[in-house]
Order: sequence, then structure tokens, then C-alpha cells
Amino acid sequence: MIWRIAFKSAWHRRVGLLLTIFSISVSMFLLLGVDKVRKEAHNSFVNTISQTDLIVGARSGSINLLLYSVFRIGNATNNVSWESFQDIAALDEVAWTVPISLGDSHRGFRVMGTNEDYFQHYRYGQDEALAFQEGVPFSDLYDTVLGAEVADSLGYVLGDEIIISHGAIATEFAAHDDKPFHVVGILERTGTPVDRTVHISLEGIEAIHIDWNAGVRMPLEISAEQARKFDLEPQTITAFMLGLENRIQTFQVQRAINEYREEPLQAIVPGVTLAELWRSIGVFEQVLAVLAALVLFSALIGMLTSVLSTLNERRREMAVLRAVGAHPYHILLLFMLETLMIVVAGCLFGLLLLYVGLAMARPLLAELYGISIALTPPDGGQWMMIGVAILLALIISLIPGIVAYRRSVEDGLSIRI
Amino acid sequence: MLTFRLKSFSFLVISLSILLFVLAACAPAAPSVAAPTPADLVLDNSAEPTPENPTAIATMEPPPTLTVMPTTPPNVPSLEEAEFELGEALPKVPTTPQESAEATPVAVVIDDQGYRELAWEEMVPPGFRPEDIMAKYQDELNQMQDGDSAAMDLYDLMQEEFMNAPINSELNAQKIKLPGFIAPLEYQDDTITEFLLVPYFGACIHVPPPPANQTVYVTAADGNGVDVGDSYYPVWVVGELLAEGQTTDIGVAGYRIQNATITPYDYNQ
Repeated sequence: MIWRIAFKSAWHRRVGLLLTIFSISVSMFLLLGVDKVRKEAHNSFVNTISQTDLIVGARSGSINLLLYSVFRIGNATNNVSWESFQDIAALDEVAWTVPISLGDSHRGFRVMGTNEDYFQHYRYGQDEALAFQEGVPFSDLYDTVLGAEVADSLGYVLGDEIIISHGAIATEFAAHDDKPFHVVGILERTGTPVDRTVHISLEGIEAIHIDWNAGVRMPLEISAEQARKFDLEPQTITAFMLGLENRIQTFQVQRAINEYREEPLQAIVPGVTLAELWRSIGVFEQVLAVLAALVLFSALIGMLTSVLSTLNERRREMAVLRAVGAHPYHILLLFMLETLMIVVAGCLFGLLLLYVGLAMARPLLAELYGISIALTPPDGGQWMMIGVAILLALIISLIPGIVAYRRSVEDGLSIRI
Repeated sequence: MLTFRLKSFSFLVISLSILLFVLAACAPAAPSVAAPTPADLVLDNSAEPTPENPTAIATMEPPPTLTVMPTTPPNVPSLEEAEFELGEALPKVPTTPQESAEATPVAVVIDDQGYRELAWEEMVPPGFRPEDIMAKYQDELNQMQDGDSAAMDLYDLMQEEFMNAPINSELNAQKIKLPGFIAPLEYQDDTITEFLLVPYFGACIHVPPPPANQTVYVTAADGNGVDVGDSYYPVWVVGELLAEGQTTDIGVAGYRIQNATITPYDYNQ
């Protein structure tokens, strides 16, 4: 009964209240959005690589190496020579290696040169191996294997021909259009940057650059078939991953690679560098969380202000209710119920905004940062945030409630205008 | 009058509760903010080229022959200190060279589940401990003149011996409790499930890596992983220590603990 009164009273003042609901929903969207994106980003990053003991590249910074080699964010500062790679791969302590070569792209997706060890040894998530939706790993010079997202969004099937472009941005004059590649395999979806990668062999990378010099095509062109006659063993690679026979020797091998005399190299332990990355951005995450909490606080204060300001006009309403037999505490309850409805509506609308916003931002985040956002329901922590917001709102509603309670006692049944 | 006082009082209460809410939101994350910051996480590998043979054919020296400076005895931090410096180890009961030569264990502390506290020094088998190696070469060192360049070579030799020391197989299948620092290897969401345990902070970055007998490969028991935010702090690892001297079909050489329980290290005990 009192719900209906509260609802009808609120409905009468719906325009102002809708704005209040909207401000609360925006603040909840911010609070939950920051938390959700943070957790999803962590999970994406953590699930991208597994069971790799060291990643080796030219010396830059540990986080930089991790970002460009595994997440395809950023660029390498320098390359690793083929001789150094072979030297280190020949160590007794090293069980397997996967060389990778980055630099080209295909319609916005990164192209990665590697060998068949990649399909065998690369692991992601909880030690999951790469699987093929259809097709096989590349064997011929001009074969390519596509990640699931590449095939889906561009509509490729087995047997299609694709043109690779030089550099990370596709431009017509930087296309290797005389050497098309044939799709021979499409990988299963992994939820990692692998989905957004076009894989070709290291020899393929050499072949497409054979008549290029310093990023520019030379007039003396070499056709695709002629390129086969050349020695296509790679000269340099961007980085390589390796697995050890015995993980306990990780630090010793890492130190030996870091001190390798022939070339400036660095080796990182992916798990350790990921922890470093979290620590670096951990402060920003906390600042964002505090900001979001303050935005919620200001939205609630705004709600308090609007309710207090309408108190005077509602004196007659309260007096009428008292006249028909409402007890003073009913007045208090009325205010609390109204606030409860406002804040619950605000939270629900905020959740709606959140999921719509995430659904729209998903492709962009995946493309720019390799973060895959799962549209899962809010978890325990997020429900608690909603709960605390509702509780706070109810506590705040006590202020106008108690004021109205006292006034209704003072006014009694007479209406003082 | 009364109404006014009530209003201001309730406003105060509201503000305090909101402040508490904001603090509560930040508090769980606070330890990471106050966590020790390793001096310089960016790799600073400025290796000088070897003067003797710049045109030598590229040969990769296998890890055992590392020309690294030895670890000087780390400063033992006071128990109140929350910050750890690179190379700092946890406070320990110092052993005299005589004690280690006789292989007398430090006071054995066994907890109620039958796990005893292990000291990192015990993981180096007797005869290979720094004091023993030092004693072995003492005469040769004493015979050298001041400023002899061969002294550095001798020191490198001693360092190599220490780094290549085998593991102490007597510790196999012992239930132990070992304190140390974490170098994460495998994650599950925000939890570290597998890691390497080392005696001092920052072992993976600048300071010389610990020898193989001062590294333990730990696999956490289900649901017992370490949160990433806590991974910069020292921990107690409790479990059964496996010490394989040789790589076999069933396992690789080195110390391992499987199904370990990991708890924070309370240095105020």
C-alpha cells in the first residue's frame, strides 16, 4: 500500500527524478565499468601465454619486449640476428624455441612470421595448445594460417588469396601484391591476440622482402616464382620464445642470454614481467577506482539536494497523508522507499549502460590492445559495490526523511502555507 | 533549533560513512601501493666487450661459466623494516664456519603438523658451502702477492664451484617450511599457481641469479595460489621437498615442492 503511494508520488515528480536516476546510473556505470575492464584486461593478458620459460629479444625494456612479442602492442627497437638465435637454441638447457618475425600487416591485422614449432609449442590459457578449425599448418613458401578473428571478420575460407602489406598500416604503395599468399589453415578461437594474427613462414617474410630495400620496393622486381630460387634462410627475427628442459635453470639461462657477448639481447620471464606490468598500472587502477567512488558520492549528494529542495512543496502532501491516518514514521518510510526506488532504477540503468557500452567497445579494445572482454554477469565484488551504493543512498535518505518526520509532527493536521 | 542540530549531525554521519566507504574501497589495494619498489625494473645490461678477443667466433658459453660478481653477505634488515632492497635476504640465525663444517643443523623448529623450518644454507650440501670453498682455497690465496691478477681468476673459480654445487639429496621427501621470495611462472586469472622460490628479493633482475640449489620450483595446491598483489612480499612455503640429483624419466633435477601451501611471511614473529 505504501509502495503505491510512494510510487505515485514519485511519478508525479518524474522529470526531476529521471535526471537524478540518470546521474546515479552514470556513476554506477563508471564504477562497475572500471572494475570490469580492469579484471578482463588482467585475465586477457594472463591467459595469452603459458608454459613459456623465456622470451628473448633485442635490448629495450622488459615490459616493452613482453608487449610487442606476445600482445603485438608497440614495436621492437631492434632485431635479433639469426646466428644468435641458433646459438641460443643449441644450448643444452633449451628444450624448444619458436622464432617470430613482426612488421607486416594485412588489412589492419598483424602478420607474424614463424615456423611450424609455433603450432606445436605455443600454449595459452591453462596450458592449452593451438587447434585448427580447418586446414593444416603452412608448408609451402606462400602458405598462410589465419587466426579465427581474421577469417571471421574478413570472410576468408581455405584457398583464398591474400596480399600482405608492409608496415602496420595498410597502404596501396606498400603492398606486396606480386606475392599473394594462400590460406591453408584457420585456427580455433583462443581469445588471445593469436586470433587477430596472420601467420606465415619465416621464409615467406624473406621472400616478400627480397626485392625491397629499406622499406621501399626496388625497380628490379623478382616474381613470386623466381623468389623460390633464392636462399630464403632468415637473416634476422624480431624475437623468440623458448622452453627449458628444467625450469629451475630459468635464471641461469636468462642471465647467460643477458650477458651474451655477440649481440645485445635480453631475456625475460613472462610471469615475472607480467607482475611488473600489473604493479606499474596498479596505481592508475586505484586512482580510477577512487575517482569512480567520488563520482558516485557526488551523484548521491545531488539526489539529496534535489529531495531537500522539494521538501517544502511536499508539506501539503505530508499533511494530507497525516490527515487520512498516516503515522509520522510512515512519512519517513515514504522518503526511504522513494530513494530506494530511485537508486535501484539507477543501478539497473547503469548496468544496462555498462553492457551496451562494453558490447560497443569490444571490437575496438580487442583490436588496439588485444583485450577480450567477456560479457559475463557482475561478480561478487561488483554486486557488493551495488549493495553499498543502495545502502548509502538509504542512509542519505534519512536526512530528508527525518526532517519531514519532524515537520509533520510540528505541523500537525493544519496546513500552513 | 533541535531540527537544525539533528540535520547537521546526520550530515556529519553521512560524510563519515562515505569517507569510510571510499577508504574501504582502497584499503584492500593499499599493500600494493606501499609495497617495496625494486630500484630499477628496466634491464640495465651495459656489458663491456671483452678486450682479449673481439674477433672470436661466436660461441655461446653455457650458463655454468658465468663471470658474475659474487653476492656479498646481504644486509639483514631489522624486523620492523617493511621495505626490501635488491639482494636482501630474510633475517636468519647466523651460523659460524665451524658449525657449518660439522654440518650441525640450526635449532630445529618443528610445527604441529610435523613440518620443520628449513634454512637456505642447508640446501647447499656440506663441503660446498661458501665457507668450505673459501677454506679450500685459503692457502692458495694466502700465497699470492698483493695486487695479483691471478687472485681474480681464483675468485672466479671459487664462484664457479659455488654456482655449480649439487643439490643436497638428503633433503628429499622431507616435510619443510621455507621462507623466500616469488618469481611467478604460471597464472590462473589473478592468482599465481606456479613459481620459483628464491632466497632474496629481486633475484630475477639485477643481482646475480641464485645457484640451482638455492631455487625451488613450487606448484601451489589447488586454490592455494598467491595473489599477484602479494607476490612482492616474502612468503612461507609449506610442503614436501623433492630433491632430485639427476634428471630422470619422471622428473628433472633440482628442488621442487608440489601441492604447497603458501602463507605470508610475518617478519615480526
